[in-house]
Amino acid sequence: MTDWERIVGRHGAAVWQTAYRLLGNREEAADCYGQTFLAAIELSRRQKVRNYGGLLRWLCTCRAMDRLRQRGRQAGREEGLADWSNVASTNPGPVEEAQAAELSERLRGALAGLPSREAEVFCMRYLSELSYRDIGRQLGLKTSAVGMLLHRARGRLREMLGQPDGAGDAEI
Amino acid sequence: MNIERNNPGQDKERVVDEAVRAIREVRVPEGPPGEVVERVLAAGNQEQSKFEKGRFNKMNRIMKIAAGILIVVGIGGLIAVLNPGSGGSGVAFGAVAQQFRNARTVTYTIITDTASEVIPTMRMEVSYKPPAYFRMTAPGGVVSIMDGTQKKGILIIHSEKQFREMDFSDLPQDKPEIDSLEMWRTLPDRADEVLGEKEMDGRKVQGFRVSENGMIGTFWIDTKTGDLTRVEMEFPNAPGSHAVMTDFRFDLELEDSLFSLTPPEGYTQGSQIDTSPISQDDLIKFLRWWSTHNRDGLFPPSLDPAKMAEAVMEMNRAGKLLKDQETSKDKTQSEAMQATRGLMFAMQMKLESDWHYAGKGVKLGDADTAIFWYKQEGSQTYQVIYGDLSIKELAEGDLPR
Repeated sequence: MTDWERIVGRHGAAVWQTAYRLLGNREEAADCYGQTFLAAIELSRRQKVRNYGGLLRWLCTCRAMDRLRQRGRQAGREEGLADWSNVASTNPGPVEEAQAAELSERLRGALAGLPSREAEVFCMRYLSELSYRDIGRQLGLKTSAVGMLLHRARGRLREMLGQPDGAGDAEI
Repeated sequence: MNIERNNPGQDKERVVDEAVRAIREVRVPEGPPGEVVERVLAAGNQEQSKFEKGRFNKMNRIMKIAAGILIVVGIGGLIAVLNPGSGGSGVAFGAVAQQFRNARTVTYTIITDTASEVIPTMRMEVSYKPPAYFRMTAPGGVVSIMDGTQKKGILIIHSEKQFREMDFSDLPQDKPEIDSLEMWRTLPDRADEVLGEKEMDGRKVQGFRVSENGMIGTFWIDTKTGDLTRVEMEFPNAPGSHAVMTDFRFDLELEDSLFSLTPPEGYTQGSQIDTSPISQDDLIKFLRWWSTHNRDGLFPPSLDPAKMAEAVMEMNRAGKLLKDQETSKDKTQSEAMQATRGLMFAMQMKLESDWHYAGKGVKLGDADTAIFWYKQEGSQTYQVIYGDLSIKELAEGDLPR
């Protein structure tokens, strides 16, 4: 028997945090939150879930990444090239805050350009702060494979973020 | 958050960490919106209800009986443990008893579990309201309501659109079972044993143990607020089975309609539930029923519901269960209640009764083999039930080894 009230109570805040950090937008984060739990409920029909915390973070990351890629495609269609640095910050404020918001948006854009598994591993490690072992268990990977994916993801992100604003997102 | 761009190599290394830090430092607003959480919970509850109903329906008759036992055990255990006790010390425990005495209403959650994976964990919501109202919502859309003022009750099975009535008017006046809140109010002022302190969900709690009627209740009380936070029930007569009560809330406004004995419109009436006092006769009826429903004519291997459930699964796999030619929901429910009452007779045995069950491997009709014996309260002799279900009264020295 799955006690969803308890699961939502225990993991809801972490899912919301992951969704909002990745999307930076309350409305989309709320959609992502709902979709994440509905996907988990659907999954629980088919298989026994041993670690709801890991599963929900992973599902949330996947949903959020889908949304980011969608944003990229839309932006690409509308503007020719996605320029993540121009996405309006929801928290206008002092210069440092604005820079942080800009950098966050550039990371979101860059993550959308990563191969999906690399993006998932990166987010689960650095945004959800899951251990290599927990990530491996969730994705069915050895910890060494998790390390390899993280290494590759960091390398790609270095390249994308190191380029002048917007230039790194050309492939999206 | 300055990203220096003077040293491109170093910047490239740092920029990922800086970006991660930036995104992790994003101020996350309160959320998600309440309606989103409600939608998720509604979907989850619907799923849970489907799962429970499906699982309950998939159980064969004997499994339903075994599951039913746990519900009864949950209530029965509560009654047994919370009846007046004696001895020990514990001022804080007395304060909790007082809290119940002063309460206008009490609600809590009870979760029952066994050592067997075959019997699902069950979660029930319980409400009491004075002067003597009781309501329990169990999995599978089963709701029990008792009204001590009328000495009547109703069992509503929403999944089957059926209801069954209960009549407690024949119960002795001094029986507290249906005087709902009263049974909480008779909580012993002093526990048998004061346990140590520990952390529970971020709160420091102290434990108090009460043993009554062969059941053990451990009460965990917040040392700071004096609130009862958790009650754990163990059943030594069924090792591994336990019930946990949490989420105690006092003085909530509870609508009278929650305790209405009027069945929902369109529901059909099933046979009345037997609420007479449980006796040795109930055990005998259960033993007879079991041994005539398996191909080998054997008595159950154990009277522990969890072990019994495992045995049923094994017998089912081996094709040893006999199925009635004709059966009905009503018959199944009556049999379930009979089995529950029979097993409750053993479950509620006090440790002093020195009861033993030795029916494993014995066939119905074996007049030479004793299968169950116990010492009646206040008696020096034992009641002994044999394989032919005859009863003898024996002195301790004459008991089977």
